[in-house]
Amino acid sequence: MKKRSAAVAVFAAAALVLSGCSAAQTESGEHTITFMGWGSDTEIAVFNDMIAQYEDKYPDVKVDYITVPAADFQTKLQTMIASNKTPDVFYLAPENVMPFASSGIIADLSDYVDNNDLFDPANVWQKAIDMYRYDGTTPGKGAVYGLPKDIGPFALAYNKDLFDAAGVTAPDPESPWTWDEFVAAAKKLTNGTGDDKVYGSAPYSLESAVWSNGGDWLNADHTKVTVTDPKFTEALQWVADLSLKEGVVPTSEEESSLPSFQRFMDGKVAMMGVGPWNQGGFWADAKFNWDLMPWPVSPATGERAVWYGGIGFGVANSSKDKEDASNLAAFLAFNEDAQRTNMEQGQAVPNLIDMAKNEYLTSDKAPANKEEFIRIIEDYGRRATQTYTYNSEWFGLFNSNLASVWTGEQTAEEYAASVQDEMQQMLDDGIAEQTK
Amino acid sequence: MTTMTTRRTQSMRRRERFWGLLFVTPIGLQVVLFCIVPIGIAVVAGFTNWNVIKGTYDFIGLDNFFEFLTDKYFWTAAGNTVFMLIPIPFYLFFGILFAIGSHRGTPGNQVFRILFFLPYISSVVALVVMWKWLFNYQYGLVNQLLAGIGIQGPDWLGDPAWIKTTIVIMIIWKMIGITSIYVLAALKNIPEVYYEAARLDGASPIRMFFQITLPMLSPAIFFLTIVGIIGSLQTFVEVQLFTSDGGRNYSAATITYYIWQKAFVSNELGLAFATAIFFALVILGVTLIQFRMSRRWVYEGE
Amino acid sequence: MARTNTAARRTGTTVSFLLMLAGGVTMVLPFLWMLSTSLKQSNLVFGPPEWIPDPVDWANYAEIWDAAPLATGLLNSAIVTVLVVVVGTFSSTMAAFAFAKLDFPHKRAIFVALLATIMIPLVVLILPQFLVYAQIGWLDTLLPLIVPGLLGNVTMIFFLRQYMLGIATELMEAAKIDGAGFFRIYWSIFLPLCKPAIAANVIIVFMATWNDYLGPLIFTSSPENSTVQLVIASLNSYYAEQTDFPLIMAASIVAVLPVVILFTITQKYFVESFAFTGIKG
Repeated sequence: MKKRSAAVAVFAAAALVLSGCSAAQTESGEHTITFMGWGSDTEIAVFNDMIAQYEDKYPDVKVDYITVPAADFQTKLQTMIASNKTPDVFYLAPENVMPFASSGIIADLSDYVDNNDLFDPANVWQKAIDMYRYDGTTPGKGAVYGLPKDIGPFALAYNKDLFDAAGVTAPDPESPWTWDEFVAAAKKLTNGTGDDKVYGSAPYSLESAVWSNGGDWLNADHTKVTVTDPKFTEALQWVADLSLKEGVVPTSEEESSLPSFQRFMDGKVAMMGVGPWNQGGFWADAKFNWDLMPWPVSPATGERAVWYGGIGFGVANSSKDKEDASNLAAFLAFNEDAQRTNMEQGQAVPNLIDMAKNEYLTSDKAPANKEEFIRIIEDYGRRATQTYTYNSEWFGLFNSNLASVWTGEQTAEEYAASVQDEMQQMLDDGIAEQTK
Repeated sequence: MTTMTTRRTQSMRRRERFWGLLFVTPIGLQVVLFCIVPIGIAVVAGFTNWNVIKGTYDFIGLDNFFEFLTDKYFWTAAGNTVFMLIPIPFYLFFGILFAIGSHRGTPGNQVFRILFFLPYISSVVALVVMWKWLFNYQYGLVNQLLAGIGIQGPDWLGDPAWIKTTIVIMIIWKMIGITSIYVLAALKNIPEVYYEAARLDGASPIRMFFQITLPMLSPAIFFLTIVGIIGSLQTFVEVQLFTSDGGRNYSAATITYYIWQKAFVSNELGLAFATAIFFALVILGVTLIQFRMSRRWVYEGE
Repeated sequence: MARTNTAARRTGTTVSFLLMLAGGVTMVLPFLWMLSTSLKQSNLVFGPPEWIPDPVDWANYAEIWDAAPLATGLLNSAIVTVLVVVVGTFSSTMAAFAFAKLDFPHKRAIFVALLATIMIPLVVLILPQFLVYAQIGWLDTLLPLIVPGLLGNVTMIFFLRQYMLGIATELMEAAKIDGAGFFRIYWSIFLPLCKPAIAANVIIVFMATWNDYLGPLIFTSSPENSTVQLVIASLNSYYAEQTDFPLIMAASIVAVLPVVILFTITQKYFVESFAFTGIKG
């Protein structure tokens, strides 16, 4: 008796579940494409809006939007690719363009870019599209394999109120500070103890320091590791000393206890690197006035530099609905209304140049110096070095024990010397993979 | 007379065989479909250089095996993995202790049992987030309490010297409850009669513990040790959630983490599978040795 | 002599109680802290620890239902877990009985094979399993999480076998003489005798299934098919800097609550007086 009712219950439940699986019957003529990405709830909400707009425009197509936590995205994507279930459209990181393109996973969109009625390639940031170009040997040139979700310049933000209180004036966009002036200002801004401590700056962008100083992780054609170059180690040591010697930046342990981002929001850090994606959060939660300033220049070279990043939309080569998938990618990347939504939510600088230079610049929301974002895109921003190589294992290695420099256990030179050979080995392995 | 008994015995034996096999069919199916087949794929893949992204593979013989055996990260992970065995004696000890206390009918028993179980029933994701917060260098409860008695707590999560210890502490904490439940179930199976007889003989509680309780618990302890070792050696989720890269200097990565990295991060599936095969054989070996040794000290009721 | 014994017993009980108290506090402290954190406003979490939040903010508990598909997650987890536990327990106990008390060809070999499977690192079975599921169309459904579990749980089989080995075989002989079939023996005699052990294992399988994170992560993709663990993980924002601790704590409490309540209700039944009495003595 118990047996039978248990069995019935099981079968009923199983039937329920199984029927749920086949409930995705679509009406004739309609088909579904899958789109996979990650994001905070705000981003996801914005995407849901944009997808709704897309479905309105293309009533025959339904979009199945799959979100995965960012940290698991790579794993998930790889398993899906391995079993021939690549999503039609998915987040494509610039560093994946080379391996994916040479393995035939992502579709070549160059024709689409030139012959579509959704956008005009001339009205899109050149550098944004270039992140997804690959000509078979060098990334950044050649066929287009992805459309940019956004281009994210990393700018230096500062807390105006803290500046005023300490009597510090932010530099003019055209006359940035030198490193020494930066440190002097940071020292003025650093005060207090314990829970009231205010730090002059968040940990400094290593890219900005290294590139400004004329150094880089790799040489120009990305075949040799150059971290032992004095220009590199000098910059690395300077960044570490901001905390170790000058005391204007939180220590490594403090940083891992409470990220500077939170400290900045609490008004306990005066300067910090931010991207356009932070705008929305700042508008909502920042209880102080803030603005952007130009990145400081290295006293050795008088140059400044910083990175820009981004994520793109790739279309699967195995997709059965390439046209629709490409349309979705283009829609999400360039559709005017979608871009406007993105901009108004404080998620990004528009991909469309005219919108960026007109509507965005004239909007009266913070920051006042939004041109800094545009300046970085057009002028002194660079693509991260590790996105140029077939894989970034060498970079991962560099970072794995970088903390020993931040804590002062090793000097920059000692550390660079200790990892140089292994990094080179990994880089060589990656190049070997690429040319296989 | 004899023929009839023989026939009946034969038919009974046949029935026994039938039912025996029938009863193990479900689990057998599970093992074949969801274990053996995938293992088959994995074993074959261990001898190739399967690239998931490209979809190519060539047979490269034992190359993968040489590669991980000469990889210093593998050996670091191996050391870390052995470290993960440390929780076992601790939670066994406390688990037995609390099971006995519970069995004795200590006041407040029911409540304690629920409390002891809390760590085990919580989602690992939430536990790790909570634990990370507890052991936060500046604001975590642990370091704040330590500061209160004048000790500067270490950087539990960042310092390579401490991260493993933090994970181990969390595992001990998590496993005490479930261990005590197992032991409690086993304790309840010890006939009270034995204790009565011993008491009549004038045995002290300590003597009774070592002469009756422990031996009667030995099957349960054996089980817990085997499962504990197999499980601890495969520690993975905690490492993955606590650190994003195996810890500074690879100080927390276990072998399973190494395998996962090779498979899903570096995309070297062949290498990952080869390492996994090797590791599985090691675990199998350890377990077989334990079985052999168990004949000496595990009591099996007839 | 009686006096010494009672005194000794009382000391024993007191010591026992203090130990249990210390243990209990250690177990529950982090949870109280979790509860306390969940009631704080997001930005007030960093700072000196306060046990009683000021102000007490229940907003998080409302927010979690919007921030993530928590309700669906709970439902999916429930479906998977109940099915696996109910049906899987039958499959497991049957197999354990067979291994412990029956004789059949290749018994030792099959058992060793089962044992061997526990040792395969799960993380590596997942990729080939994914490929298998992809071929048969089970991806992004709950099936990969349910079906294997229906067929039994090796750990449970192992423990129950050990437990059953400790039960006298004379019982079975007696039943056989009475003409009972093997299924009857299993169902009416051994199952009831193993109740404490089965109960303990049921709880464990329940928890393992409920808490499974890797499986749902790899095999399901749509939010409608997520289990509660995935939902909690997704509350970690994209940018690690913006992790909203109180929100995650609140979601975790909600995820843990049903299980805690279930355990509280059933633990009495499970762990209490089903002690085996008599035949052995």
